[in-house]
Amino acid sequence: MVNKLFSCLFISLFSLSLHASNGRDTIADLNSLLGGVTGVKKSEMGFPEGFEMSETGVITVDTAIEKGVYFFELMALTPDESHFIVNVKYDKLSNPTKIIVNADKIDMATGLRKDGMIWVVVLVSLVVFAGLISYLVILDRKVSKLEKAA
Amino acid sequence: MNFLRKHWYKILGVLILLYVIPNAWTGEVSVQIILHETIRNLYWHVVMWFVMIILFGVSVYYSASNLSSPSQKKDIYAVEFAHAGMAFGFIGIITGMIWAQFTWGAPWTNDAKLNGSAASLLIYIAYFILRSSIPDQQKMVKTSAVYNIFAFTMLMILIGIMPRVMPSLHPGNGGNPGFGNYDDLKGSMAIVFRPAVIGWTCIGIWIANLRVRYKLIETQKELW
Repeated sequence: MVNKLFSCLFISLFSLSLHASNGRDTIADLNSLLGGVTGVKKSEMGFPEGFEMSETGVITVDTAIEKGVYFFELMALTPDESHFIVNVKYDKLSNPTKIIVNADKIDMATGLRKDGMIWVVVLVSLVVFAGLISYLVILDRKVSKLEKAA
Repeated sequence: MNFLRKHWYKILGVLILLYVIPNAWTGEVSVQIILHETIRNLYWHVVMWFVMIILFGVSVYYSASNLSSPSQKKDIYAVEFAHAGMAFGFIGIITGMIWAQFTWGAPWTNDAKLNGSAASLLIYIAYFILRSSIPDQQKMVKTSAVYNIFAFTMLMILIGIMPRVMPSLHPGNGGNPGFGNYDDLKGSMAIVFRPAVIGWTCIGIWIANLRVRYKLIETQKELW
């Protein structure tokens, strides 16, 4: 429920020195950020060099990475089947290093399909289609009649 | 048997679309950032363009064959298939404008594909104007057949090649990933999209067929 209430926007600022281990720093843990992650998909642009992500959605960065500002995005699937687009900004030019992780929910009609009576729309569009087709059939018959007469 | 031979593609088209329409609303779709549920327009808007190109293709086939072995029937087929293709083209433009309004923020962007499709529709409008402007029947048939081949070539260049070279917002153009690159399309969306193209093509051919038969009767009457 909490996840649903706050699903629109997550902004978290991490201090870099907190999670240092083996020359890699943790930028964000999508699992804790989104309340569980069942799947993660990198965008087609991929990750900038030096950045990595584990299967469980922990994004880390090489501590020796060059100074600069890095952006990348990825898509995450949460247990309640919501999709999130996660934008990461890693700013190593500022001191201390600034990390902004922003997760936006992608609204899809998953609920609508279940209980939003989408079948009414299906029915209506089928009726429209049926109407058009019967119109074509009638025209077809009329033309056939004319062909026979000619 | 005769009934089936005459009407098989009409029945096929209707049956396919009876499968397509419910699935276009309720089937699984790819999750995309800006598109959200509007990705379902793929089953309508994109299909219209596919059908238009197929109908124009049939039209150009009859035009080319009319040049090598002329007959009035082929001329009528060429014109009426182009007419039916135009209808699908206009539906394609209008649906595209609605879709663009809600995803790109404006109904018309200076996108290579938008301007290309508008230009190619104008080229086809010129085809009909050309036909009505030459009084000599034989000259008109020959000239318009040649023009139709030119128009189809321009269509291919304007909506098939130019948007891939120039910047474009459309998927698969201007360096954008194509719809085929969206993983989900390979599965759940392709099984709706591809039948939709076949189904609407059958309907398009049906409409063109009605127009052809009407035109044939009309020309017969003129001869009397």
